[in-house]
Amino acid sequence: MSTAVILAYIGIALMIALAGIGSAIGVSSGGNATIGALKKNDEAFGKYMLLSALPGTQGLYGFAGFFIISAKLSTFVVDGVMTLSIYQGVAVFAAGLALGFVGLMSGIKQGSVCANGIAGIGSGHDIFGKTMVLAVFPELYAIIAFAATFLISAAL
Amino acid sequence: MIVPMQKYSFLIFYKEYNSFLEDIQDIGVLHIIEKNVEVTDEINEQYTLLNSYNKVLKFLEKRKIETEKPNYDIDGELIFNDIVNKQKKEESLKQKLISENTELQKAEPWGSFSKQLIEKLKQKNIFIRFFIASKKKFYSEQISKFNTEIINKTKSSVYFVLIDQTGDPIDIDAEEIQLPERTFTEIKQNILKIEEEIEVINEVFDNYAKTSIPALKLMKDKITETSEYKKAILNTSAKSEDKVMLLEGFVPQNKEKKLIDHLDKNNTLYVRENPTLEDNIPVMIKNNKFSRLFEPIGKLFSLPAYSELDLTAFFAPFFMMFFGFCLGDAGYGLLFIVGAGLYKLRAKEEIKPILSLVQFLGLATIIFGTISGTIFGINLTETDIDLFSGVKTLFLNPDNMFNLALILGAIQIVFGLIVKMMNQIKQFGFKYSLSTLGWLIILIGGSIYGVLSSKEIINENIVLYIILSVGSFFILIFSDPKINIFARIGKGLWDIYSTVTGIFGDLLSYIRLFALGLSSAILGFVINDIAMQILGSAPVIGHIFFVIFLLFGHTLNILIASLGSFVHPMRLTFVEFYKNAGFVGGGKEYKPFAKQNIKT
Repeated sequence: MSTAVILAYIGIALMIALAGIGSAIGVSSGGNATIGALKKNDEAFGKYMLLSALPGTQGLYGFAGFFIISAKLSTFVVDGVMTLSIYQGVAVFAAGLALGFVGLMSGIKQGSVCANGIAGIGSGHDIFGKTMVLAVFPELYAIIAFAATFLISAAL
Repeated sequence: MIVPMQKYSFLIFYKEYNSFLEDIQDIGVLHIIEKNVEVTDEINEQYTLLNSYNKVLKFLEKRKIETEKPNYDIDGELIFNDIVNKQKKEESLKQKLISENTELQKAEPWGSFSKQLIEKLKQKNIFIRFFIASKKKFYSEQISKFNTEIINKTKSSVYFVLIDQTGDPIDIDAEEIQLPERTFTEIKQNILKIEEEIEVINEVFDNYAKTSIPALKLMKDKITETSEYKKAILNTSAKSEDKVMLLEGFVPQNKEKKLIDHLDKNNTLYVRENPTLEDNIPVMIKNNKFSRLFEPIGKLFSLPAYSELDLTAFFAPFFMMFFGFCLGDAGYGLLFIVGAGLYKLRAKEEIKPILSLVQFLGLATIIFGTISGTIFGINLTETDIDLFSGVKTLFLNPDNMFNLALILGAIQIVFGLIVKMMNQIKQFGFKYSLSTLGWLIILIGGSIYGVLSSKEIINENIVLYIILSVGSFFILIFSDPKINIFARIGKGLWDIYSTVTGIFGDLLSYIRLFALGLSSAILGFVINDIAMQILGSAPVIGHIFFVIFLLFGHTLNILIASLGSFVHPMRLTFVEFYKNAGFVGGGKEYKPFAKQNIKT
């Protein structure tokens, strides 16, 4: 168990955990807002559901990032032992930090944008499309972090 | 392009004004200039009425009944009033039903009994009194003393009557109930009656839903026309002690003929003049069949101002390209084209332009998917399929895609500057466009020099210096033709600083195309990878779940990626492209005073 491997797996854990937490909190904000909005207008449940689901993508990116990196890491197994240089370990750790933290914050914040949109629709304003457009913007940064993870893994 | 408008002013004798207005509404090409008057209460009432009509129409449509042949015999207004009244009646009946049900629950334990009998007994001084007590208390000493008869028992309570010779209050540990007004059966009958009434009302609603929706829509359109008519009267100026009416408006040049023919035939007094920039001229855009598909996207942001260029035709091809770049999977693009094509066969007329737009976007997706070698999440650069081994080297890898995104961004920015030049020439004159020309010389000349010198065709630095000096000359000296030379140089220096940092930031913004394209492709790979693992896990169930997971995963990927691929190119258009093209916007939409399109 070299330091490099430890660092790499901590990175993977951060990636999955933090991005997943971000999505979980994000979709819960949406869910809570939906329950409130249903009390005022219970006909637009489909729209509420769709908006609540939008912050769910950060967790998917965390998982997909894990998948790519673990596929790459499995190519470094020599004689049944995973051997990584310290540079590779740190690289994976960095990718984990990046995707994890960006996924965490963008998921939470995207969730609050969606929750406000849901509350607005519940109050009778016709803002479904515009909310979807606005909700896509925080997600861009999670996408960038995911692209960076892919490029890091390709360069390992 | 923006259709040129002509300004019309009409002077009509007040007695002929109503027929004049009706004819104008019939021809339907005049956009009336609105005066700054408050809308009257009458017109506001019409709007509220229209709202109610819309609600009633939605209510009928929600009943989801097969429509039959439309019945126009009953007047739409009568139908509307009838429905509104019946909705109120239904509401009050439903309330009554709730209260009756509560009464029913209270009376249920007591069952049927005869009130007359109890009254008769009362007259003979025998009182039958109704009590509820808990089981424990009922069987205790206190109550057993009395003459009681159990009527009903529940889990925890006993319903009983106490027979007594006085009517005085009895002090026992039980709750005395007033004689229920009606028996259980009586209430039940009443409930059935109310439910029947509600049924009848609902049948009436269903009947209306079957045949009367078109008649209601007709009435609604009539009300809209009447309120528009009243608004037109509101925007008319009365002159010469209310004997002459003055109406002003705009007509698009390509629709004037019918109006002029009518005016000349009736010898109407009118003035036709070119509009000045101070008038708030309405904007009607007209584009070729391809760009017309992208007009709704432009309208999401703002219509152009009357005096500037309409940028729809300019951003349309870029938007298509960027969408394809961001979605970047030939397989998904194919699904778009085929799916939209199939839906077109049975779609309403209004939706067909959107479906055509989807098909064009799918085409761009196929192109860019092919360039990057991605089809249904399979990365053709890495797989070993003999069919593609010859062309494998032609597919672009991520590094190339990164550069391609930046190059496309640079092209759009330079194109935006060219459009800005055209805009400035159109609106202000050639002098004003020279500073933009300077930037274009530097950017285009600089990049051509860069390409040629990296290929060692031109090596002299002097060429670069000439380009830079000519460009800077234009930027500094012509930054603002209205002020003196020193202020111009100062403004030019500030212009250099803000534009350089601006263009740099704008260029970097186009990296999002690369990031989005990469992420949708990678998610496709991951879905395929996981699906392959599912396939290998179990013999029969593995195959089933393999198919399910593939369908589910790729559908999810298409939905999420399409949303991002639509929104981000939109943002690039409205922010980066419009900024570099000098788009001002804020145009008012052309809404003529016309009859509604009543389709019967």
